[in-house]
Amino acid sequence: MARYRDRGDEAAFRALFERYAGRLEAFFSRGLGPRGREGALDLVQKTFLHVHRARRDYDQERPFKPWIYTIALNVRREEGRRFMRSREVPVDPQDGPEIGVEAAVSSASDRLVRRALGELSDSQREVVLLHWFEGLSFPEIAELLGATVSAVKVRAHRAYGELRRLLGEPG
Amino acid sequence: MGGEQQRQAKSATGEPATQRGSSATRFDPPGPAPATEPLPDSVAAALWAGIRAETVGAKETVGKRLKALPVLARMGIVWGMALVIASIVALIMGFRPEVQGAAAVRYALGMTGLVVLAGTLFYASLRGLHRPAMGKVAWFGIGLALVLPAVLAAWPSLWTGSVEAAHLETGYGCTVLGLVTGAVVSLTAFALQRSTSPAPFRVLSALAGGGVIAFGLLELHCPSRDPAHLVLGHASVVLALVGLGWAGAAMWRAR
Repeated sequence: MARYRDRGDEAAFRALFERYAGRLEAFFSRGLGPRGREGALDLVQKTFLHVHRARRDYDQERPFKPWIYTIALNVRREEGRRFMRSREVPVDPQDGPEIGVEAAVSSASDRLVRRALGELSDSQREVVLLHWFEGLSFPEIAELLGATVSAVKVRAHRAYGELRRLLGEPG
Repeated sequence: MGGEQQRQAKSATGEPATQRGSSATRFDPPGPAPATEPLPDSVAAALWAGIRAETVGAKETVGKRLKALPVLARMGIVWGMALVIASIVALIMGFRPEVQGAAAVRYALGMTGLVVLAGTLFYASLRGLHRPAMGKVAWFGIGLALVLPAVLAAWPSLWTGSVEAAHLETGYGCTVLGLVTGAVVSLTAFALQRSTSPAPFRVLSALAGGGVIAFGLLELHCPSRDPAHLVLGHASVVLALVGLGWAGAAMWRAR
């Protein structure tokens, strides 16, 4: 990131793309519904555009991962509304495949999880995506969301309880 | 690509989810996170081509360099534009000469409040997406920007000026002056947005901030203390700019 920030090095930017593009695509597509990947790729592109424009704001003393996920979350919130409208996903995991390449990688259990994520509130879903899927710590998520650690833990506790119920697991 | 994508999510204590066993806490997820599949090569290549064309592969322009400046630098540009506009208004039309004594203190407090409000609105509008968004602050500020100028305008004891025929006759002149100056400042803030389709609160914050600046300029210039003129000719500028922005944003979303 340092080479890219200071010199706009294309190879360094490409390395960031290769490391994070797939993860960001998954971050965006979970909960977006049948048009998930189509919209997610657009949001990934917007995220990297903001990374490029904000590169001189990056503090090299701090970890990069929470920084890029802050951008991704804000892109999701501010520019993803039109994709959020088609959030519905098939209730039955045996339902027909989703469009395009989505069908090749979408398993029945993955669709069940997506369905359950769709039942959560936006604030709960954000915490679950960042904690469970992206592996960020609660303090990192709190800073990223501009909330307290306690508030984030409360959201996580409620969200995971709801997910266990929806996925048929004992609470 | 994607080697790192296969890792497991961590628990609140940093322990991998799959190794928690009986030590699971009430903050732990239901199980290991579903694996994230890497993007197919063809999809990744097309995506990179699109991103490269807009970023490292694009020609650097002055506009792009300005958008990449930190938020405080971009706010400085907006305030610089406001100062240029204020200077032009002062040179061509002059500032009101009669505010003195205790009235000047009240006047200064009122202006300070407007400057703080406009600064907060510009900050909320221009802050990069790498920081938590200030949507709630922005919406509160927009509401305050609609109310505060009207309150100040309708508060006769705040001002000591007298109703002058020249200003009453050119009451709409104040409105036009306010709309032009407010639009120039707002458009400067809008042009410095990093997003190609900024969120509504960012657009409306820029417009409300420009409107507040325009209201302040009108109060610096116009000696009228007629509440009707001050409310309809001065404070309405903020409402008009925000209203136009709202309508424009709605049309943009509907297209």
